[in-house]
Formats: sequence, structure tokens, C-alpha cells
Amino acid sequence: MSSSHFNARTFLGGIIISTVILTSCIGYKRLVGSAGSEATKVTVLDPRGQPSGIFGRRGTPDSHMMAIFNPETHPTISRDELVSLRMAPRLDSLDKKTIYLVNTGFAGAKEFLEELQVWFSKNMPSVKTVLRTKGGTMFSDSPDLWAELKNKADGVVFGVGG
Amino acid sequence: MEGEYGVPTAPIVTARFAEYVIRDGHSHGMNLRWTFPPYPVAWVSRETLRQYVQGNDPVTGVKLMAEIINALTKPITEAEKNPEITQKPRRARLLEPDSEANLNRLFLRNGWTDGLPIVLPTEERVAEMLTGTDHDPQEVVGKMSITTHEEMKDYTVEKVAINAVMAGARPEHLPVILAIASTQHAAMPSSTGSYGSMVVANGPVAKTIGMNSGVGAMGPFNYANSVIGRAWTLMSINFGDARAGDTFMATIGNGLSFTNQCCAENEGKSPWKPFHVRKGFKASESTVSIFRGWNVVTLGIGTTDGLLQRMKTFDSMGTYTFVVDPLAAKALKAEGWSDPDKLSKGLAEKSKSPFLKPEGINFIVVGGETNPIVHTTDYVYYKTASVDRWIPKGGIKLDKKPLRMPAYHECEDGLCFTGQKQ
Repeated sequence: MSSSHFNARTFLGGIIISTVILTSCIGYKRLVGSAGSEATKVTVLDPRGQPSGIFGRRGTPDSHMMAIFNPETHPTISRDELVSLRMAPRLDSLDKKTIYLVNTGFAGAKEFLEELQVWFSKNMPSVKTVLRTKGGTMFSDSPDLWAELKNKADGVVFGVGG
Repeated sequence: MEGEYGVPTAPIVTARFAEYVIRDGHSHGMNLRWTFPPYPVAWVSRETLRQYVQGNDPVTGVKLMAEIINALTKPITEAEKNPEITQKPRRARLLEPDSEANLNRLFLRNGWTDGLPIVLPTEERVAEMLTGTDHDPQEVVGKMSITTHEEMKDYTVEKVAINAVMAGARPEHLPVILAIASTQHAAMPSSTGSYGSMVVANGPVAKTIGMNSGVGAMGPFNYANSVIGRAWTLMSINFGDARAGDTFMATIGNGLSFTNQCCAENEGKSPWKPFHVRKGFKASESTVSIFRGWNVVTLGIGTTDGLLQRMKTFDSMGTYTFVVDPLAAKALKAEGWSDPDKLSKGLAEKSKSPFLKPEGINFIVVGGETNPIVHTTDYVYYKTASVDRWIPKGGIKLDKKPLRMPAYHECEDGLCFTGQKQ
């Protein structure tokens, strides 16, 4: 084999190898293209809403309870107004007090409150318990019952939610 | 009862909702004295309930009855007298830059999506989306909460555009999505019952952006219907702050919530005035109407007796929305109901239910006349909102080559023959 022949073959082989390597590199670059872009950082916008300081609840005692479900008539109340919500003074004891047990209408609530009533009669017989089931659904207003509670109840047990 | 009537109160909520109500109290600045019996109290034996009453509160470990007595008798503490309201900080407009893969993971992990792949809301994409309206990006569109009592989140035109991008929408869809956002109704309320929602477009916009009102209108066969309905879900998640098991309590959930039965009314085939016209809009105006409920029965016969039969066997809280194929609507018209509002009145009278009011019964005409059926729902109609106010002065911003899925083949009065040889 002459050296010139060898050189020509080497040269040709070199071209082939280089082409293969180059093609592979291009292919590789294509393949890692997505990985390359993964390394590229992008900026996106935050999709979440901003706290408004507004709470959905009945704004006034006489506002319609169902209004909370309708944003159009939704009585809203701001964070500042919410501060005025305060707890009532507590009783010295339950002895000889009238405690209303108010069933708000969720399934099982009435039966649970009946068991509560049994407990009071056995363990604290001086407590007078009155079991009431709120009219309508758990979402509807019961102004007559609220008035009765205000006038006659020393304390109220409300339940059972959920 | 505490604040307005001055009566000491011991509220009882099952342990399943302890975190929910405690957080609610803190955010309101009202430290109610909760008692948490085990969950559930429904459909358990008397003996079990008795054990609950005699046992401990599983959240606090305190005797349940001692907790109730304390709630009514223990003197008010200083902290209770001067409650503080948790103030949440405002969020930055931009997120920390990162790779697309990491951002997709972040959105998914944070619960900012519906679980399906999203289009990341880059500045470029959001800016392009905002060409779909002339309104100022920082204009506040409304505020929303999926609960009825927690702090509402407010949202701007830009925030709506961000969620529209994520849903895969184009600028042509933005006015409709903004109109939905303007209703301030979340598609998925927090209720333990698993609500479904529906949004129906009326007016010229439906045709302009290629919405489907015919064959498969409520199914996955139309780009506009799908992305608009999906955008409502994403907005409900991100503006309404829906977090499953935390703020969102629907026990089973509802598959309809992915795209909310988004469609257009088939005004062309309906024998009645369009729905939005019956709600006081002009036929030339474009609107979206929002509905929500629990139940959908997908097969029913579109006759007056058939509707009454559905109403009798359907567990509704006094509202019905009938989604009527045009053939069924035509059959009802042939029975003498040329005005669906009169049909609502007639059904309310015939049902003899004291709770059922004519305004609680609504009709929407949707479908491709392949079957004269009716979808019976217990959906409440909430509101119809204008789309036009969000449309740019130059008209809907259509892409040069708008994206469209295959159009369904239109039928005419049940005749669907195309003339194509077999």
C-alpha cells in the first residue's frame, strides 16, 4: 500500500468521521435544545388575586341571609368594620339558666343535640334546655327564632355544622 | 348571636371542619369558642352520638361537655375582647424567573392550575392577550371568594388575562372571559355538596369567535367553548382561592368543573327569543349567563308532561334550568308555548309547589337536532353580563388565522343528509 493511497484513504475516512461527528453534534444539539431552553429563565406573572380586605358576610343584622350567595347584593364588610364584632359577656354559671339548643339543619344535628339535652338533664338538672330547629334550610334566616333567643335564652348552643 | 344579640353562644362544628372555621374566625378577628365533636354526626347510631357527647373533643383533647360549658361561662379574655384580624400581604406582580419546567412544576405544586397542562403566562403572552380589550390592565374587574365569608380576592383585567393565557385562550376570547369575571361568581363554591356550573353565551360574539351551540356543544369539540370554560375554573381557583380540603370542601367534586358546560345558545335554531333578550338585553348585544347547581339528568323528553315528570322526580331546592335541544323547543312551541317565560309560569302552577316560582325555571336552547331531548338541571340562574363592554373599539381581536376545531355538520329540523355518496 503506497503512502499516497494511505493518505487518501485516511483523508476520506477523516471526512466521513468528521461528518458523522458533526451530524451527531447537530442531532445532539437538537436533542438538548429543550434541555438548553430549560436552563433559560423566563419571567411569568402571578395568577392569584390580591387580598381585598373585604369579607363576605352579612353586613347588617337586617340584611337578607341569602344575600351572601349573590355577589350583586352581597353585603360586604371591610376589615375595619369587622373589628366591631365582639363576643357577648359570659354567664357566671349555667345553674338555673335557660340554654337553647339550636339545630341549624345539617344532617344528624337534631339527634346530636337531643343527646346533649339528655346529658344536661342527667348531669346538670338545674339547667333548662330548650331544643329548637331553625326553620327553612341551614342557609335561610330565622328572625323570629333570633328574637326568641334574644328575649328568652341565657345562652345558646348552635350546631352541628358540617 | 354574640355581637348583635349579646347572647353567649357555644357553636359546634364537626372536627372535619375545625381548621376551616378556626381560620375563618382568625381572618375575621372573631375568636369564637368552638367545640368539635368527631365527624360525621350524620347517619351514625344514637349510641355513637352519646359517646361523642360523653367523650373528648378530638381536636383539643378536652371533654366535649366541659368545652361547651366553658364556652358559655369562662370570662372573656383580653385577646377575645380585642381580636386581631390577619392581614395578608399583597402579592408581587411577577414571579421569580425560572426555567419553564420549574415554573410549570411551581404552578402545579401551588395548586394554581386545574391539573392539566397550562400555557405559562409570560409577559409577552399576557401582553398579547391584553390586545383583546381596550380596558386598562390595572382596572379592577371584581372580587371573588369561593366561600361566603372569607376575605375576597380582587382581580384586575391583567389578572384575568393571565388566567386566560393559562387556559390556552387567544385574545379573541378575552372579552367573554372578562364578562364572566365581571359577574364575580366563582364556578366552584366551597360547599361540601359538589356544585357544577354552566356559562352560556348569547349574541353575535358566539359566532365571531366560533363557539359551538349545536352538536356536542357541551362536550370537548370546540376550542372557544373549552378554553373560555376552563378560564372560569382557573379564575375560580386563583381569584376565589380554591384549595381542596382547605377552602374547597366539595366532598366528591364535579367533573363538569373542568370547563363548566361552556357553550353558546343555539339562537339560529331556537323557536324562542334568545335567553339574553328575555333577560332585558337586545338581540344584537353579546352576553354571558351564569348558572349553578348540583344535578344534571341528561335524558328527558321535551314535552310539558315530560318536564313536569322530571321536576317531580328531581331533588331540587326550587330551581330548574332546562337545556333544550332545538327539536324539543319546537315541540314545546307546538304544544302552545311560544314564550318560554309563560311555560315557566305554567310549570310552576302545574307543579303546585309553594316553593317554586316561575323565575326559578329557565330554558336554554342548545343542541344539534340529533335528538329532541332535554337536559334537566336544578341550576339557579344568577346573572347575565355584557360582553360588549369588554370588546375593543376596533372589534374582536381575531388572529390572522384563527384557531378552529372541525365544525360540526349542521342539521335542519332533523335532516342531516349531506348528499355524500357512500
